[in-house]
Amino acid sequence: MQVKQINENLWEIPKTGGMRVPGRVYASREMMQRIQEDKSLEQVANVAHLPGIVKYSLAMPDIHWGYGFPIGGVCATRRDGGVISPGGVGYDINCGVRLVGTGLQAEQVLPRIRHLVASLFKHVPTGVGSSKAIPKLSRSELRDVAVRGARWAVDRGFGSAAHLDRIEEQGVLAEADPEAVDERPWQRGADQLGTLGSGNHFLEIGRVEEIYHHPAAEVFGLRPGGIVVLIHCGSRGFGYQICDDYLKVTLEATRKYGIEIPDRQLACAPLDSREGKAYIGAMRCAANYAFANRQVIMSLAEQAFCETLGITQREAGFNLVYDICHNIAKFERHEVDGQMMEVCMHRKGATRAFGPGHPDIPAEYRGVGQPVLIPGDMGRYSFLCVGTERAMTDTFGSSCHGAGRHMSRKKAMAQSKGRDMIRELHERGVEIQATGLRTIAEEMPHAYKDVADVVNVMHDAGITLKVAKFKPVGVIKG
Amino acid sequence: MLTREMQPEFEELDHTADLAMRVRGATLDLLFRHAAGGMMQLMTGPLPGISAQTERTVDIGAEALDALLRDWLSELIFLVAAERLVPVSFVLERIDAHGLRARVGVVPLTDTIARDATEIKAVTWHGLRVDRDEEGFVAEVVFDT
Repeated sequence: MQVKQINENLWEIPKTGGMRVPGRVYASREMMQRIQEDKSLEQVANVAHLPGIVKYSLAMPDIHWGYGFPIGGVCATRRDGGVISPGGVGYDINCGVRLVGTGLQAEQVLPRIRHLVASLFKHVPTGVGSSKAIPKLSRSELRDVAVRGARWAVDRGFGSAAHLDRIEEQGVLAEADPEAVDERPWQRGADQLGTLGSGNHFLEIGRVEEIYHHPAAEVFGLRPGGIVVLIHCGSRGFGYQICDDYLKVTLEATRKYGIEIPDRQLACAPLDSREGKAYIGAMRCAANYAFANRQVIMSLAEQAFCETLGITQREAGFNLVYDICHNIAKFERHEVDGQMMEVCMHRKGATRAFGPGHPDIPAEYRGVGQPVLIPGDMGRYSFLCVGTERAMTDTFGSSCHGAGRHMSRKKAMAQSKGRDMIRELHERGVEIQATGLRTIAEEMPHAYKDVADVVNVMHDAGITLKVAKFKPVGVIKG
Repeated sequence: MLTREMQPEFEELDHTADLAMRVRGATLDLLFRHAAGGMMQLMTGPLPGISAQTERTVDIGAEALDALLRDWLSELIFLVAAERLVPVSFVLERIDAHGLRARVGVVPLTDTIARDATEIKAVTWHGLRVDRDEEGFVAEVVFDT
């Protein structure tokens, strides 16, 4: 795949063949060499074939080979004449990250960290088919979750209404349509609310290790040595099944409307078509399930902290900093060819990163920009950044979402053979509990790129600015 | 009582972010049984000595072989995800290019099995292929994990 360097951290894939726009990839020179080893650049070019795409098919520096869209892919399609693609959102609809500040300092937590991790593991079910975090919901309650998102959880006593302002879209995508959801997603999602699932999902206790942007850290209530909680998960089986069902629907639509795509996983439907509208309505239900899921998990984690440390909720001081989506499609207004227009933003493994002053971020954050949460692997560190004005003009207000794997699970398993990964992590100051040893081996820190490299590309490009770095001290995984 | 499926003939392919496999079968029946056994092995690891306790029937149609393979594997994922049943043996009563009917032997998804399992969310359309060659059929499948 031919790429030309635009500047130190930006590369362009020229428009060729059926591409409607060029591709643009944020990466350092060293990263680009590695990126070229798999098919992810081809996938950036494939996305550029989608009808109605504007400006560029973009990829963030955590780009890696996905299916259809690359992971780290960003694409905007015109409201008028554009399409929506379930593959541009992914199976785990509204997979995202939540950052919670606490009123606790590391020295209050570290002496009890092993017990705390065990308690979190008991309160928040993890692993394949994990279920029953809360009593099984009736179908009508599930429909309520799908329509009301995090607000449903707050009304059921999970957290407070003040949290809602600190969630992207206030924790609910409007005009979700439960009628567009078939029978199977309801069955898959029936008893999974409040669970993490498996794979790369996690709940992490972190310590604020470094502050880079003091005014922003002050606004977010973060100080060195403070304890934070990061929650990474999505819409569980409910969302996976909605995506799967609608890939079939949109594959038929692709044929029906005569759309040519280079990969069936890019199946899409016109935004104003019956099929496109139905997917949007169903996808919003899954997004709302995910918002509710993270809201419930935060509350379960708070219970674990209070019980284990023998403290009150007030003393635990759980304070939601922000909750962001990184697998989503939404209508947003952006500048295209000098004019503001409404576009359908697809972010597949990418985070919204609105700059200061944007009306869609909490009023108290408008002076510094939207928090952008970028978790790393479980052994090193995670970052909090903020969006910039540059992100609004160059990336449709988008940034990276994580470290990105550079080693397959198979290779990670082979490299961890004969090693005691739990002890290795303990020696690095990380207590871990997981459903099985296989997950710990597959998710070993060196299976991932160094997230600092990814974050630094976006920082140097002026798309997001680093605010703080967190060092993990306790992790639960599937 | 059904018995544990034969050792599936499949090869795990290297994929950075997800799981992928190549599977072969001299006949369509064998291809689909190996594909099912291979996917389940990727999901749960080998389950030696486990015999099916009960069975489910899968009856599906599709307009092409690759779509049929995807739908077949998706049915098995649904059994695990929604009914907490682990498919361990597969009898294809009928299969052609347009559909299949199968009896799937299952065991409950116990904590022991779940502990070392990897979640497979779905069977993707990306790189999905079923081809004929001189030895029969060969298929490639990429899973989202």
